[in-house]
Order: sequence, then structure tokens, then C-alpha cells
Amino acid sequence: MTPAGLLAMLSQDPRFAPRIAHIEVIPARPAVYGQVEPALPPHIEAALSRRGIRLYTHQCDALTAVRKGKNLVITTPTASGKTLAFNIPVFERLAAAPGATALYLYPTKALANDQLGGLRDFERLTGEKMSPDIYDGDTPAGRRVRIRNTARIIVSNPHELHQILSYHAKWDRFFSGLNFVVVDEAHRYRGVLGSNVACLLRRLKRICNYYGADPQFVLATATIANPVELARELTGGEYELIDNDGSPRGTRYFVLYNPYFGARELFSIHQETRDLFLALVKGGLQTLCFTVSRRMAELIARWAGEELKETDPGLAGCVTAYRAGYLPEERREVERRFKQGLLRGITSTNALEVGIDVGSLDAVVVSGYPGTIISTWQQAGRAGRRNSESVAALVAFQNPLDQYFMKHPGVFFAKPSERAVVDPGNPYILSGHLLCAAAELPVRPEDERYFGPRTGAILEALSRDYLVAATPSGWVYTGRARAADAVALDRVGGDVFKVVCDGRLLETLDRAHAFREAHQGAVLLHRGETYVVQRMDLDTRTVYAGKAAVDYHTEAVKVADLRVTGVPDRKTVRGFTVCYGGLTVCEQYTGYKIRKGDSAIGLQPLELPPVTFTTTGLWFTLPETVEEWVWENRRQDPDIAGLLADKPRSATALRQMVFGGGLHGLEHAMIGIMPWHVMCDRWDIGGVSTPFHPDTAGPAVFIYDGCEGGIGLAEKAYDLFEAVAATTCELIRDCGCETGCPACVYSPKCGNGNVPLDKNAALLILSRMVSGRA
Amino acid sequence: MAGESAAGVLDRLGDRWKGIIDRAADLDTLKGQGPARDMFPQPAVPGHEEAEMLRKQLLRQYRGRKIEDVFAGEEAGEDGCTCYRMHSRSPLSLSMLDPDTVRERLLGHLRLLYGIGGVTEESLKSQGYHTITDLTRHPRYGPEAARLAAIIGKGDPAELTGWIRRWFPGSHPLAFYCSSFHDPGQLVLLDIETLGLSPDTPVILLGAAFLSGSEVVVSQYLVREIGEEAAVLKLFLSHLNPGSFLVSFNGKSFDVPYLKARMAYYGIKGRIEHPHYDLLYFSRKTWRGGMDNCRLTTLEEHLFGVTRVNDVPSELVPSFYKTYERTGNIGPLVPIIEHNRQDLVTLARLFARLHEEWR
Repeated sequence: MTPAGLLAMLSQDPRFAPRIAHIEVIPARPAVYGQVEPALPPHIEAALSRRGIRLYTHQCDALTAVRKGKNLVITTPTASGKTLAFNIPVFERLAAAPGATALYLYPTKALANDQLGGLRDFERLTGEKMSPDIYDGDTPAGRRVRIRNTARIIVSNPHELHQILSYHAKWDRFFSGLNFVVVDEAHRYRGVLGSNVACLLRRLKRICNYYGADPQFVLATATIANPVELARELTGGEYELIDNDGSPRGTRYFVLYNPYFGARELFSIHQETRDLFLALVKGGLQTLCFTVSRRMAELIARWAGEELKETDPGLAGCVTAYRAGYLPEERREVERRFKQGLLRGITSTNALEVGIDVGSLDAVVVSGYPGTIISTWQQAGRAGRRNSESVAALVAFQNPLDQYFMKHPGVFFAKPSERAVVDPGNPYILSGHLLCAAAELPVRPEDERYFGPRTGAILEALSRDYLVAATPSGWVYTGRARAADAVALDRVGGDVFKVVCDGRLLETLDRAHAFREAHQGAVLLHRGETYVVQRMDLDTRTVYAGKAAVDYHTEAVKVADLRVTGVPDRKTVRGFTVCYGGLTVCEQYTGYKIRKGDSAIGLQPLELPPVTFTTTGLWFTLPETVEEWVWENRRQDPDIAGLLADKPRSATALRQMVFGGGLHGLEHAMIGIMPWHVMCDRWDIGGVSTPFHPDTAGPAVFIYDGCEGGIGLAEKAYDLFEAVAATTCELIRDCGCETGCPACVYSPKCGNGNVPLDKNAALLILSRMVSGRA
Repeated sequence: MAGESAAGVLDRLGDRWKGIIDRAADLDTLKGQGPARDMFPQPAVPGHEEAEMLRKQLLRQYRGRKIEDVFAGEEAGEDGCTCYRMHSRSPLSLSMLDPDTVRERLLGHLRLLYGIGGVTEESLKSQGYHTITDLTRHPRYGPEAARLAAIIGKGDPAELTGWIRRWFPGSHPLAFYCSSFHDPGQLVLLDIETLGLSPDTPVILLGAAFLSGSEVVVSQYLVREIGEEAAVLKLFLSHLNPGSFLVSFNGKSFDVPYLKARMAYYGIKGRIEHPHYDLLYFSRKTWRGGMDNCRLTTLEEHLFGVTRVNDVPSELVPSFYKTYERTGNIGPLVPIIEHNRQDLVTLARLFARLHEEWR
């Protein structure tokens, strides 16, 4: 069945029709080909025509820009032939200049592996010997020397590059010939990770310059609001934008699917997702379903398989889960079977939005708004064949943010992608990279051109703790451990748990996931099979599980707690006490629920140590009179007045909800505005608002750095507190919505499903904070 | 950001990184690394207490004193690129194996030829081919035997070592015998002390020792402040000439790669590709059985009955140097310099001992 036909049918079906909130038709587009002038070398030309490839406009633009020696940033969508757009000019240059080399950086090992396959294929096709290879943590020691000394294209990741730069002398052949640095999935490098990668790429540039090379950068990103700015911040150079997508597309139907359309709910969100997924699979479409958790990916695949067994036995084996934690060979196997058409449907966690190599598909189901417009379009973009129709569906959760999009499709489809912000000048991040740089080559005054004007002042400060020393050669690193070991690009630690079944490694997960999903008694789903965890050994980080056919699943119960550990600084802003200090965020799993379908049938206690995380944050407490004042104002408003008139006795509860919703909305809006004042991504920041906190003995709002130890985001916001409060106030005041929307008080990462929220109360509190009165 | 607050951030940065780096360094020490594990066993806690007492005692004892008052030496280097050089001498009797004896032994190893294993060797010997020289007449092995015989005759140690390592492990006595083809006057014993285990961090003391008559002459180059490291590297290079050969303990894995990495760091041109006899491997093969580990201090106790007093354990060298760096008090340097000098003397004696042991 064609996607359009299937959608027409669903629109008639009472099970689906009321849930279809909107169908956006994105029209088909023909291919637009470009001209290559001057022509490509014959062997590359021949290779392309053997595969029947004609170059699209953006591929030709990329080639022209590279030939001119420009840095470029490519923003065309998934499946537009982006990889070929940079592989052709790289091969052309490398074939013409025998000593030239190229470095490809991918955010994950899985993506690097996929890329290597493509490069080897292109090498065979063109007959140009490039000996492309992967160099990362998994590369066996015995092969490293040969790769360093012979490969002309090396595929790696930022973490590995961070580790190898200080061994540059062993890489002199590769670095002195380096013509290209290709950074794919560059939009992933935003916020704290992006700032780290920006510093890392500056270190790479300095090393290359030392060896006489000055590589061109080729960045590829998903659609973001500011690709050129991001590229410039990441690498510190000028860029040409390649966005003239010439690849063809079939018509695409984007469905906003709302299980909470107003009727009494009969099914859970996961059952709703399953049913839509099944409808697409049964309709003959190859479908990928993104879910919010690993468990949901497994459950939906399992439920779908069970249902198919009854209704369409022929399709029963055609659905599988695919998620992080699977061993690489298992993942390759799933990808291969899907590409061969042996699989019809895959459920996957959205963490794998770019990690799954299955090409483009007929249909994609995105279960729950993924938090950013960037991710939504990346996931939805997996649907889209070149010459046939496709469907993407966003299944809304019950929370106000998802619901807002369902009710305002116009806003959703017009909403620009987020800006990707990086701050290579963040002193916490830059200082770590200056230590690394000083361990690679002495840092000289002229290196300010890589690291910025504060280089000298930061090194001077580090020298007071004897971490670097001023010498006639420049600043020299003098710490007692390897600098690159001390500086982490992000919070990926070595804290990995293994799940073992009968002595066989089933999968791996990090500590947080292990505590949540693989605690004693947990039902673990792996490729549709159920396993019950017998024991977790914390010392060896091993989880022992046994295969067991059980018909229930489990859900861990978490208690979270936030404590103030120190208050080095405080100030008063119009009666509000604003503090900056240390915080400990502590999460503990205290038990787990046993569920059958959607109902809980039991609760078991757990004894697991808390997972704690220390950071720095800012928080404020309110003058005592504010709560009363907010209530006096709000109760006059028609909405609250109406509720009060209906149920006069609910006043106390309503008052709590108004005030709590005001604090909560204010917290969300303030976090949302932070990237404007403090260069970061909103996902780098955490927040808690509460009508009573034991450490402040009253209502409080906390905003803190989301990474261990903190990196000065909340600290800077504390310094700029009045400005942050003022812009937050303007943001809410000027937002055109009635009761809150994603542009003001809704948060895409709220742990409480954006409940309660009270836009007007938030505005009242803020105006008191900003002007002292309403 | 306000000026005052910016300065506050900078002050916090140092503390923060120092904490992180110290933790990483302590972890390195505990883990040990690869073959270095033998040399850096996990320090027992009582040892650390002793070391802390030693550190305090040294700080008291040497307060206000200068390095020149404690160790005789002088400024070395040129163009304002200098460091502090110290000298000392110890008696040593070295009699290397006679080159002709070595030639004879080499010629007796038929397995040095391609295609000859244990069985073939036996059968060749029963046919009357007892030496490589005999084999030069053999129809199949003749040409290669002639090539090897010529190389042995010439006695070029680099070429010979390369040949031997194709068929025997690097710790085989034959590889060590090749040291006899060198002029003992060209011997350079090497031992460095560093701020850490990875060449990210500076060399702080370089000891080189040479033979002079019946004495071993030790030259030590001290990095009084990190800016002197480049001078130390250059001065070491100036000791090397094309005929030099190196003797070290774990220097193939540690000291030489470390020096090369530090030279690359400063952009100092120069090569350290000289024949190199790493006594760790030969010692392990010879004496490992009777000892708990193969550290140099264990060997010297076992072989020469030397027990060190007030020694600083290797793994604490960086932290002692850091104390000197912070306080300017030379006390914590004293045992580092003594330790390095003693290592070189023991290394020289070990070299002599191996020539006797395998005589």
C-alpha cells in the first residue's frame, strides 16, 4: 500500500482517525543536478558513472568550494548524498597530492565503522589507494603503527584525538600531510561537549601548523539555526555554507498523532505507539519507531511481535528492537536484515537517531517529542525515499509541551531549529585544554591566535599551582599525570556494567542505566527475550541474569534529593536572596514495581547505594510576602476566579498549585533563557523548584550545571543574575500564548511532565524580582 | 564578567585541576603500567609513612642550603640554556668478554640461519657441520652461512643484534654478547627521573655514566627549574657519537622513548638510535627465579648486598620534586639525586656482572 493510501485508510478507521491531529504534506521535489567544472579525474568520473551517479547541485557546490581551498559546512538532510559530497573532493585532492592525508571525525565508534565501509567501497571503485582505516580505542596495538604510518584517511572520534595529540611526533607523517579535517554530525558538538571539541580542534590546528600543514575543515551538520556560526566557533575559521540540496524527494506526510485527543484514555501511550507502528508495518511500510527508553523499545517490539503472531503470522518475525547496549555484531546483523528486507519494523531508542545504518525508510514513528527540533527532524528525516512517498508521525505524550504542538501544528512546522551554542572561551573548559596543549608543545604568546586573548592569564593562574611553568620555550606542562587523562571531553566515564547470562556477555550499560534497569529482580529485555536479574555485583560491576519466560515487567522507583553543600557567595536582589554554591544531587533507587501490562501488581524493596553527583549552582529564596501577594493577584484573574467559584473549598490546593506552578514555570523559562547569557545548551543545565526546601527553609528555585563538578555556567549566571531575571521576565511577558507554551514556560526535559505550570504566577514573581513591584 | 569575579574564577581553576591531576597521578601509581609493574610495585602504606617522615626531615635539614653546597658541580650548557651538572666517581672492574670468544659462540649457533631449527641442527651436526663456517660449504645453507660469517667477522654489533633478534628473543645471551664488539670507552649508561610515567611531563634529572679506566664516572644533569629541561636534553645528546652504545634498565621501554618524546616536544633535532642493551631483560632471564621482583634495588641487594638508606621510592620522585618546586627547599631533591647516582653505579656493576655470569 502507498503511504498516502494507508493514511487515507487510517483516516477512516475509528481506532486511528480521531487521533490524527494534523497531516502536513511536504511536497515531492525533483533532482537538481549540477555541473562539475573542470571535470573530475577520469578514474573518479568512471567510478561514479559505473554506479550510475550524477552529482546533485550541493555535491558540485561542495567540490567547487573545496577546490578553492575554502572551509565548508554542509547542512543538507539525511540521505541527500552528504557523505559523497565530501568524499569526492577529498579523493580528488589526495589522488593528486601523494603525501596528502585526511582525518574524519565521527561522534561514535558505530558511525565511524559505517563510514569506513563507505570509504573502502569508494577506494575499490576508484582504484585510488587510500588505505582508509579506523584508529580508536578498539584498534589493536599491533595495527596502530601501521595505520599511523600508512593510512591516508583515518576515521576516528574526538575522544581518541584528544588522547593521541600529545604523541604527535609519532604522527608526523600524517599531520604534516593533513589536508582535510572532516567533522560529521557537527551539531552534536554543542553546549559543554561542543566547547570541549572546539578547544580540541584548536589544539589539532596548532599541531598541524607546527608540522607545516594547514588543513581545510569540512563540517556536516543536521539542520540547525546557525550552521556557519557553529562551524566558526568550533574551529575558528571562515566558512562557506553548502545548503543548496539538489537531491530528489518523494512526497512526505508528517502526521501529528495525538492519543490524548479528548476522549477517555483506553490505552497507554506505549500501546498507542505500538498500534500505530503495527498499522504501518501491516500496511507494508518498512518502519522505524523511536522510543524514549530502552525498555520501551524492547516492550513495543515484543508486544508488536505477539500481536502479529496472532493476526499476521507471516510477519511475526519481521519486527525487532535495536538499541544502545547491544553488542556491535548484533547491531550489524539487524541492520543487514533490515536492508535486505527480511525485517519490516525496528524499534529503537532515540539515542540512536544517527547510529543506525539502515538507509532511508518508508515510515518513521517518533514516540514523544525528543526535546529538540533538531532531533525531531533528524529522526523524522529517516523516512524519505528518493523516489517514493513516505510517512513520519510524531506521537504526542500527555505532557503540555507535546500537547501544545498537537494543538498548534502551525507553530510546530514553522519552529526554527535550535541554535547550537559553543563557548571555547569558557575558562573552566579552556584551562583544561591549555594544560593538554602545554603537554603537546610549549605554548607561546602567539598561540593566543588559537586559544584566545585570555590564554596568558589562565596559564599564569595555572602556574601558581605548579601545573605549568614559564620557560624560554614557552609554557610547559608540569603536572604529575597525563594531561589528557585528567581532562574529559564529556561525562562518559569508565563506569560500565556488564550483563552476563550463563557466562556469556549479553550487553553493557552505564551505572545509571544498570541501577534503573538491571537491579536485582529486574526483568531485562534483550532482543525480545526476557531475562531476570539474579544478582548485581557492585565491586566487579557485573550483573548476573538468567533467561526466564515471565509475563510481567519491572519499573524501578527513584527518590531524588538535592542538598546544599556550601554557600561561598550570596546577595540580595529586591528582597530575594540569591546564592551561589555547591550542590549534591542524589538519586537512589529504593524499590521496583512489578507490572503486568499497564497495571502494577507488586512492589519490592531494593538496596542500592545512591548515585550522587556534585556540582555548583545558583538558587534563590523569596521574600515571605510574595506567595500571599501572588495569590491575591491571581485569584482575581478570570481563570482562577472561575475555578474558585466552581469549588470554593479547593482554595488551599489551588493556591499551592498556583505558587508551585509559578516557581516551576519561572525555573523553566530561566533555564531556557540561560544560553543567551551563558554560552551553553539548555541541556547542560538542570533545575529544581520547590515550595519548601529543608536547606533554605522555604520556597526555592535551584539552577545548576549538569556536569560533575560544574563548569561555571550557574556561576556566571549568578554574576549576571539581574540581567538573566530581566530577560526571563521579558520572555514570559512578551510571549503571545495564553497559559504557557514551549517558547516560554514549557521545558522539553522536565522530569515532572511540565506539571504544575502557571505562566501568570511566574510572571508575577519575576516582575517583583525585576522591578520590586508588579 | 566583572574583573574581580574573573580573577576569582582563575584562582579556582588551579585548585580544581591540581585536585583532578593529583588524583589521576595517584591512580597511575597504584595501577603500575605494563612491564613497569615490576619496577613500581604497589607501595605499601608503611613505606609511604616513612617517606613522609623523610620528606619532613629533609625539609628541616636542608632549609636555606643551596644545591652547590651539597653536590659538587657547575652550570652546564650554553646561550643562557643551562642546567646544573654534578660529577662523581666510583671504582668498577669490568672485563667484557673477548670478541673472539663471542665470535666463536656465534659461529656455533647454526640456528641463526633461516630454515634451521632444533632437529635440523642436530642432523647437520651429525653430518659434520658444527659451525656456521662449516655450513658455508653446505649446498643449501652455504650462501646465507657465508653472509652471516662475514658479518660476524666484521663484528658490527648493530647488524649482528638485528640478525640475532630474528631468531632469538631479545633477552638471549647472544644478544648481550654483542656488547663485546663495542669499545668500552663508548659505553653510555643512562637513567632518568621524571615527573610522571607518560612523556607528557618533564624530565627532572638525567644521569649518564661512562667508563674511565677502572672507574665509572657519573654525570648528572639537574633541572633546577623546568626551563632547564631543554638544556639537559641537549647536553645528553652531546655525549652521544656514532660509536656510542647505551646500557640501561628498562630504558628501551621507558628512558629512550621518553627522551625522544621530550626532544620532539621542544623541537630538538637529534637521534638516539644507538645499539642499546637493556639489562632488565637479561637480568630477568638470569636472576628472576630467586627474587620477589626484578627492580634494580632488589637486584643490587641480592647480588651485591647493598641496602639503601633514606631512599625515595621511584613512585614518590614526582611528589618530592613537586615539594622542592613549591618550597624552593632542595631537601627533597637530595635523595632523588642519590637514588639516580646509585642506580647508575649499580647498572654499571650489573653490566660487568652479566659479562662474568655468561662468560
